Amino acid sequence: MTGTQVFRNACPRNCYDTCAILSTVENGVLKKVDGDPGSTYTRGRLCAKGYSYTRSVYSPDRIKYPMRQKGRGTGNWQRISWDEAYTEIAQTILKIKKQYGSTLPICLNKYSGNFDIMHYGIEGMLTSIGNTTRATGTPCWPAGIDAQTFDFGTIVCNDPEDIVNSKYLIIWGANPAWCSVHSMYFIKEAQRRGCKIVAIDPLLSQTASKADLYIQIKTSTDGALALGMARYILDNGLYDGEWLAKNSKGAEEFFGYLKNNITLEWAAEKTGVPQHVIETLAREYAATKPANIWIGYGMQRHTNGGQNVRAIDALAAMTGNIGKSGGGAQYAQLETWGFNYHAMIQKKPENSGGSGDRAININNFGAEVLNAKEPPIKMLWIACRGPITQDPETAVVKKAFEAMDLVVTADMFMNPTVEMSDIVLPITTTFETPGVNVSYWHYWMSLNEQAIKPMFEAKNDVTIAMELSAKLNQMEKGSCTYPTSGDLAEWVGKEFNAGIHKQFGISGWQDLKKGPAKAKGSLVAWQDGKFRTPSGKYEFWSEEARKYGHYPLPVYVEEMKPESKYPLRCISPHWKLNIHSQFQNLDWMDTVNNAPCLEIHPSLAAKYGIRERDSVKMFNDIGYIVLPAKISELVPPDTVAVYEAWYKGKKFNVNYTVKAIPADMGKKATGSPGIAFHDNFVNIQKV
Amino acid sequence: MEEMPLVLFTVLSQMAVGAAVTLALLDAFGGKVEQAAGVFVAQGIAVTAGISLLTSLAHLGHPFEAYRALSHLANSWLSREVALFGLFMALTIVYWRQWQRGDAREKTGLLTAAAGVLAVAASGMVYVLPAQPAWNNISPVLFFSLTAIVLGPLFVAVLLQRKQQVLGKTSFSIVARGLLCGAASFWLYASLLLGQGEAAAVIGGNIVHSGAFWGRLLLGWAAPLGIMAYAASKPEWDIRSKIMPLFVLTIIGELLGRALFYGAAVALTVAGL
Amino acid sequence: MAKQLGFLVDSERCVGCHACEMACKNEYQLEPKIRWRKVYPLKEDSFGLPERNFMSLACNHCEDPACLKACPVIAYTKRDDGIVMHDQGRCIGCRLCMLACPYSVPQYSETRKKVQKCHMCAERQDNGQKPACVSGCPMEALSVIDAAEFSMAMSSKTLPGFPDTAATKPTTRFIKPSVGVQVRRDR
Repeated sequence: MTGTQVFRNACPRNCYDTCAILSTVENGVLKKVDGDPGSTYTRGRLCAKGYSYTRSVYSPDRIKYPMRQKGRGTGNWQRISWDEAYTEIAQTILKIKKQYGSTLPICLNKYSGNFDIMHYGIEGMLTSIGNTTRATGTPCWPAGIDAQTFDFGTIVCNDPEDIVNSKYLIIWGANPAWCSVHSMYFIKEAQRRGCKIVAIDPLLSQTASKADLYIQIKTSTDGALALGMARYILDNGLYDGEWLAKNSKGAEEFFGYLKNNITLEWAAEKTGVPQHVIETLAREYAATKPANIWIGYGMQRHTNGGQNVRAIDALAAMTGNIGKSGGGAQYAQLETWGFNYHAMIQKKPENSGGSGDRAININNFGAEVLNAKEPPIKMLWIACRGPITQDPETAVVKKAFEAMDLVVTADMFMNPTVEMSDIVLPITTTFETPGVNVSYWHYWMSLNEQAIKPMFEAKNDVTIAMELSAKLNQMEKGSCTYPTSGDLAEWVGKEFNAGIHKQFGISGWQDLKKGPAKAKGSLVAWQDGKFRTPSGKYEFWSEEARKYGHYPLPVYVEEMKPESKYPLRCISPHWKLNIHSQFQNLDWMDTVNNAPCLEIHPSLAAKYGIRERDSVKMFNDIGYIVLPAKISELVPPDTVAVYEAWYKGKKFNVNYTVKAIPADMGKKATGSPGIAFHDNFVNIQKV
Repeated sequence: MEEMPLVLFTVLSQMAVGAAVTLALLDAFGGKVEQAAGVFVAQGIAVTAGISLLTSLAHLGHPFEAYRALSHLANSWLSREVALFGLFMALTIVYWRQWQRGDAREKTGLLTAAAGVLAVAASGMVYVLPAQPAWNNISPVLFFSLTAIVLGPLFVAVLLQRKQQVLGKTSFSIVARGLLCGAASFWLYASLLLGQGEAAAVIGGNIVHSGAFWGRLLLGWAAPLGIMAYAASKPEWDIRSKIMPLFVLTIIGELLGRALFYGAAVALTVAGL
Repeated sequence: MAKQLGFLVDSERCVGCHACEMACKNEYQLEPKIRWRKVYPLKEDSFGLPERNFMSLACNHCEDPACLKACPVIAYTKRDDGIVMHDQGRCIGCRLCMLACPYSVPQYSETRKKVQKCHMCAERQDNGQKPACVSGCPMEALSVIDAAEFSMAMSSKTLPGFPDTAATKPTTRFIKPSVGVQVRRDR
């Protein structure tokens, strides 16, 4: 390929913004990336991570070919051929099948490392070998999903570009300045048009520092604040009685609960927010139209996270802000994900043993892998995931890896998860393979064209599925149903259907070569008032919730409290230069920031005799980490903050201290409850 | 240490200039300098100047293109330093040749000295920069000149000694005065820095807390002054056995001091970072 | 008056995301350790807020550039529009400009053994485009102005931590961040 060409790509990361990218390729080399101005959400601009993509593609650390490690964790890696890799993998699969009578001992852990639609072919690959064990659920956002499922029927949000129409916006436990910077633009635009921006967060996040009003709430008491506001709104008649009568079920019961159980004094005491602030906030929120709330995923990573989301949803409902442009209770949407999942949907082979896939809790992965019986789990396939860096209880996850006969990880870099694997298969970046992507936030769809040839011996996960299938069938005919060949670009086309065409106003997927497409219509959530709950209405009172063991009403559930030995809370939010275990390891990022730190309030530091840059050990009963202190008022006096990331060559991992404490909700919509990541209680010590 | 080429270049070149001034003045106004001794000293000066020039090239990313450094005489003190030092170097060779051939050399000697003095001043001015608060004053020129004043005569004394000639007491008293001046002015300079706010105080702190500073103080000022005071206290002034130790101690002191000059300086940086 | 192109840095809009830094590196595929544009946090007590305010700085294309004066090989020139250019061909890697610049702008490349710096994407601007950092900022916090004619009411020639501007007269202009109301538990 000679000369200069520009290709369309879609960032497949776990990120609200899912950018439309334009890639400039000269003589087969990716020279630079740009945002696509064709998307009114991307607006021609990427983020620091997006702009560093060439350093991901051309990183000197990239795994070039399949490798086999002699002894997990030894670092004794040897290059093998793809054929050797497939042979060993296939042999192990067939051996397990013979020994246990099914492929249930084979477990897949796959999640958000790559959300490109074609990558659901990985799940398809596992289906095509038989019944397998699946790490089920999501560590990320399930409590809030369940909450909104109970309240609305499912998660749907307004088009984020609609934020500019809000006149009041509460950003509640979300940090778009770091995690959705394109939304930050729209927030700023709303502000410019007269919208008051309120940020509620236990930490003084970047977003909070840009707000007109920042309220530092006591962690995990968000439901109390919402209920306190609701009580005020009720007492002062600021609710939308008409909307409630027409669209809701259980408003009366909810009001009864408020009258009998909630007072503003209690709310102020519980949340640490002064009563007059709660009252003003409630009055302003109720009186300004339209008023919007952005519910963050960080906020629901608590033992009462789902319940807190329900209380906030209730605020939006009682003030009649649901179904309005500039209003709503935004969380996420999966409305634009109506693909065929052609790469994923496969038949199980005949006589594959077992009666169905077995689900284990992705959020208690280590323990559940170790505890699996009849049959036990003997083999792991890890793709688009980094359990060793990202899961709680790292030590237990490591034990689980150690108990395996074979661990196969499909990945790009020698990260800690790969270091604990037997075989690593090098995979392609988004620039080296075709695909298509949508967002769980905005309403755009972007084509992902193959811009450059795969680097070294890297392969797309779907290609791996095809070739593994060929090897399996070679050894035992019929042992795998996955197609053994296929044109990946054609397969992208096979993901499309009439529904998608209509939704996006395209005649076919080829239209996306001209530019990204935006969903036409239904850009204001619940505007038609047709909620997808059993009653068809917004449910303050949810029988479904009760079925799942929750209170039917959005009552306050006590937050988790520290024990005397570990009196400090450690919050481990997302960092701005990475997405989980991706990007921070790249050389450009390393130049900007190359070390994690422990953010600690000056008064807390003084108590422990800690000064700036002192080495601090943060510990609890399951583990510890040591890192330098950063004295800052960004955190309150009873909380420390550590931003989660994988730093190349550093032994840092905050998850050694994080227990797999479940969030209250998540089982209904996603199969497993979420993780209360931010209910981590620790103590600190200068070392 | 990254700045080693510049430390060596500046100290050696200043030593050469100081020696050239010493020889030229001795020859023109002082006592008789024997032919053989004079040739040896002039040779030593020219060779030192040459070595220092080579070490300065080691500091450049592209030493073979160094000739272009003469381009910006209009504005750049570095261009001016290169031109003047180049002139000085050329004159040291001419001076040496004249000594060798027994030609009339007094005028050349004084010209060489003058060129050297201007070169030292120019090399100090290179560092007078608003971006460097520690240097944005007369101190680089002063300290560079003092290096020439203390090392020049000592270097000449060492070379003369090889030809069985002894440098006069006057020269040593000049060295002593130079050392005292150096010590006093440096203490004043450091205390001024410490008394200022922020960046300057950090520099001052860096200096007085560093091992190099105390090494320099003891080896480069206290010890030489002590030796000379001791020699002066004797009824008969006989410096011969002390010339080499004096020279070695002083040059170590000057090298340490120069390393301190390059290393301790904290530039104006954005956000004080 | 002669044109003096410069950057307008809106620290009110800036969220310190480093996209501008990376957009620049991406445009020119810079070496990992070289940053033509850097995002600096403002000191914690400058605006009554801890480290959540920033100034993004590249070259300040000064009216009286110290680098230009110090350079012995005339590697720096100032264009008619005010952009200060560095000629890689002429540079001999003496690094005096690095000492002379009050803003630590020129950086030394160990591989090329020469200095390099931001040139305000002169070739992009000559082509009618904006500099890569300006085009890349998701918050639209950067723009190009003519400092000779710029007189915005709420702008400033400096922010806390920006070195004294008197010596070289940088053309960078700033919009100060504003401070919202903070209801904090430690107050």
